[in-house]
Amino acid sequence: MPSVVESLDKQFVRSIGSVLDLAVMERLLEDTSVEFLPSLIEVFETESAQRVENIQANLAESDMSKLSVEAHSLKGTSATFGAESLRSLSERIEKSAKAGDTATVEELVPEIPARLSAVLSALNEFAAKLES
Amino acid sequence: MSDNPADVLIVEDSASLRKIYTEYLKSESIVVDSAASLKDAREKLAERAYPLILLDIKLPDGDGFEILKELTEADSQTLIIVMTAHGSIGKAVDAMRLGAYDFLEKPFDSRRLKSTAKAALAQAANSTERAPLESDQKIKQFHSFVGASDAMQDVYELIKRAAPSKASVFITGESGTGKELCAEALHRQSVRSDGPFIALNCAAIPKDLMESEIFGHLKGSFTGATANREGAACMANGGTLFLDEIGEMSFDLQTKLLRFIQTGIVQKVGSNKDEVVDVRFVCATNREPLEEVRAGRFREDLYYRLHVIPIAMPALRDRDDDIMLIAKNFLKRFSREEAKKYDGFSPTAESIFRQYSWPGNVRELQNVVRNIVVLNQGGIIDVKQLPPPLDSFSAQVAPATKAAPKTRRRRSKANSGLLATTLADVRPMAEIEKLFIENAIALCDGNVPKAAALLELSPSTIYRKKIAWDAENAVKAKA
Repeated sequence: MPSVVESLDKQFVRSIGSVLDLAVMERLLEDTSVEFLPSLIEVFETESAQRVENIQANLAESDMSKLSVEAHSLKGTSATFGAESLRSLSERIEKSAKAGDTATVEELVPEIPARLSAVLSALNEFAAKLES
Repeated sequence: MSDNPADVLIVEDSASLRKIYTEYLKSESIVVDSAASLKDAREKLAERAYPLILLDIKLPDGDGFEILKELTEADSQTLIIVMTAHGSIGKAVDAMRLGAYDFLEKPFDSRRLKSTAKAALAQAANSTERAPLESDQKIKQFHSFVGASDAMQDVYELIKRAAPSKASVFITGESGTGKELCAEALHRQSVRSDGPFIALNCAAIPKDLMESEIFGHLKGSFTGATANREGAACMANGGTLFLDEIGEMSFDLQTKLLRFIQTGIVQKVGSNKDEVVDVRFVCATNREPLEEVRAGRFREDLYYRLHVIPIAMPALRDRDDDIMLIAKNFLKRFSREEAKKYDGFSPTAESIFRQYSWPGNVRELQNVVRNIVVLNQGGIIDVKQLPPPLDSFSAQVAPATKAAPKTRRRRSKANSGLLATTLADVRPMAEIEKLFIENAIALCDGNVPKAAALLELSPSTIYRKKIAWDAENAVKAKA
C-alpha cells in the first residue's frame, strides 16, 4: 500500500514538514483512520485553546505549579501529533515553571499561540489534502 | 449503570489523547470509559469496578499515584497500567513498586497500547483470588526451592508478590544461589504459567550470535544462516523471557534489547518486518549491576527498565539450617537415582557442612552430595567420605569441630562422675549447661569469645546467659 505521505506533493510535504513530523502523523493515521482525523483535530483545537488560556491565567496568578502541569499536558499532546517545535517549547516552559524561573516562563508563554496556530493550520491543511 | 460495561477506564486529562486511545482500543472491541481528572475517576470508580485502568500520572487536580495507592490499599483486583511522560522512567518504576501492572511511556503507538491492554485484560479475566501471603508457618519448599531460612522466606514472599505483575524482575546473587530457579518460580507462580518459559544464558552464547538468539534471523541474513530461525523473544510470546548473565551482553545489543523492551517489537536479523510480542522480562547477573552501570559497561536506561523489582538471592552460608535441609534432600534424591541406601550424615560431617563457606553455593553442595553418593556404598556419611576441599577443611577447623568432640568424649569418660548413674543424680539441663559454660570460661582465663568458639556458641549467647545467672545469684544472695 503506498504511504499516505508519499502520495502528497513534495512542496506541500516540505511546507508542513517543518511543523509536523509526517512520519508520526502517518503512524497515527495507520493506527486510526483518515476519517478519524478531522474530529481529532477538532478536539485538539478546543483542548489546546483551553490550555493556552489556562497557562496565561496561571502566569497572571504566578501559579508556577499549575502552569507546569498544563505545560506538561501540552507537551504530551503535541508529541502525539509530532509537533516538535510546540513540544519543545512546552517542555522548556514546564521545566522553567518547575524551577520557579518566572522570568523565562514569562518570556516563553507568549510564543505559544503562534506555534500552536502553525500546528493547527498544518493539521487542517493535511486533513484537507487527504480528503481531496 | 451502563448497558455495555466498559473493560477499561482511561484516566487522562488531555481530551485528544483520550480520543486517540479510545479509538486504538475500539479496533480490538475493547469498551472504554474515560475520566479527565482524579475527581472524575473517583466518581467512576465509586459506581463500579473496572478490570483495567489506564492511568495518567499528572492530572490537573493531583497525582495519579493517589488512585494507584487507594486501589492497592483496598486490595482491589483492578489492574493498572500507568502512562508516563517520555523520559520519566523513575516515575514508572515507582508506580510498579506501588503495585501497577505495567507502564507505557508516552508517546506510544496503537500496537503497544493494544498488546499491553490485551495482556492485562487476559490476566484480569484469569485472575483468581490472590493467595493469602501472611502465614506464620515457615515454608520449607517453594516450587523448586528447598529452604526454611528467614532469608528464603523473604525470597518466596517477593516472588509471590512480584509474580502477578508484568514488572521486570532483576535477580542478583552469587553463582549457584538459584537465580534460574527463582525466574522459573516467578513464571510458574504467574498467570503466564501456561505460556512458555524461555531461558537464555548470555554468557554461554558467542557474542556475534547473541542477537540472532534473542531476535531470530532470516535465512541468508549472515554466513551460516541456512534457515529462518525463531528468536527467544518470539518463542517467549505470552510467557517469560529469562536472560541470565545479562552483564555479559554487549553494549550494542543492550541498545537493541532496550528498544525491544520499550516497544515490544521484534525485528529478526535481516528482516524489516515488525513483530509484536508480549513478554515478561526476568534477568539475572552475578555482578553488582549498579557498579556495571557506573563503570559504563551496562546502559543506565536499560538498568532502570529491568531493575523494577530486584530480588537478591542469599548465599548458602547465610541460610542457617537450610544447608542440612538441602543436603539431606539431595542425599535422598541421589540415593534413589543411584539405587543406594544412605542413612544420613554423621554429626562431624554435619558440623563441617555447617561451617564450610560454600563459595559455589547450592550448586557446590549439590555436587558434593552427588560425589559422595556416587563414590561410596551407603551407610552414614562421615568425614572420610567427604570430597575435597571439605576433607581438608575439617583439618583446618580441627580445634572446633573434629578434635573438640574427641577430647570432649575423652574428658567425659575421665569425668564419668558427671554422668548420672542413679535417678537421683540426674540434674536439670540448665544447671549442667551453666556448669559447662562457666568451666569453659574459667579454662579460657575468662576469655568469653574463646570459650564461645570452643563451645560452638555465639559469644552473645554466653553474655546473655551470664547476665541471667548474675541476676539469679543476686536474688539468691539477698535471700
